Amino acid sequence: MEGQNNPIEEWYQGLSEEAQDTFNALLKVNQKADSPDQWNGSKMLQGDCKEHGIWEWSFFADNRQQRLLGIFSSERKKAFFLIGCYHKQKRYTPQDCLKTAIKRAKELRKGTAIFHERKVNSNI
Amino acid sequence: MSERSTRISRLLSSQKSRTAYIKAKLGVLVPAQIRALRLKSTEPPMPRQRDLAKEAELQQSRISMFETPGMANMTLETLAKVAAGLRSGVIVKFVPFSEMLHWENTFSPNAFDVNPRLEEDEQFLDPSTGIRIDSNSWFCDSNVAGSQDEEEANSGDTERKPMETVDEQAKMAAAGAGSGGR
Repeated sequence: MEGQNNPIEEWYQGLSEEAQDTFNALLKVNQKADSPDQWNGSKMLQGDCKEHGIWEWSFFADNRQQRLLGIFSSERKKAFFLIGCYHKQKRYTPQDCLKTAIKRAKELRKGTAIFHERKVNSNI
Repeated sequence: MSERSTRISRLLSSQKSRTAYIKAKLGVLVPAQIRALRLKSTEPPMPRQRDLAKEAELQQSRISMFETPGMANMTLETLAKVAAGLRSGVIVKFVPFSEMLHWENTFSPNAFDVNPRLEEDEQFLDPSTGIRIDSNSWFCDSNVAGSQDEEEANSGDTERKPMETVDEQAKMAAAGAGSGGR
């Protein structure tokens, strides 16, 4: 989101092959959902995150609850991923990921953030 | 080399890679089906996971696990319990990779449903209604099942032609025809 960095791609590259495959399969299925609440494995976060419309997408891989925090675009079937993290024993890693997600959501809405498009491959 | 080409090469050379690929797709598509079917159930309605838990005689926490992408290693017995709770049958079918990919690409949680459920499945409850259920055919179609010989019916290729074989995909990748880049 910031500068030329692509934190989601960095997070993705740190996953195992199976976790990457799961993430890709999840995107492929969820992109066909008509509304945000039909995205499998997703829920609106509470507290400050809710005020900023931040959702959490979760899937299990690499023996962890992998989490992606993001917001849905006003454009149908489009979402912005803000940060990748994982959740274990009620703690997020990195610990400040909720704050980072809120900061990036604000920047995105202000138009001061750069985003990288991620296309879903249907051929693998 | 595109992401797709790299992945195809690993699928061809590594059993672990193939396992990861298959498990990832099952790990997303099975939970997505369970959730979609639960939410579309009407007899009885199952808006909450505990509704399905009751019908399947399982704990709600397990239904939650089964609906979480990648979470559960379900046994066949548990899968049967969930299907029974949903009043639907279930097929576990070995297929070409291309068919698995086609299934993933065409699956939509909005559109997916099992219709009819058991109580309204007249073909099953009363076969005398005239539609033949052929024991050799996975997909019961009165026009198709009656005309197939046993070899065809058991080939797993009765419903449609696979888009392309893995060999063909690999050849396409080698020729640079894959478009797997982001």
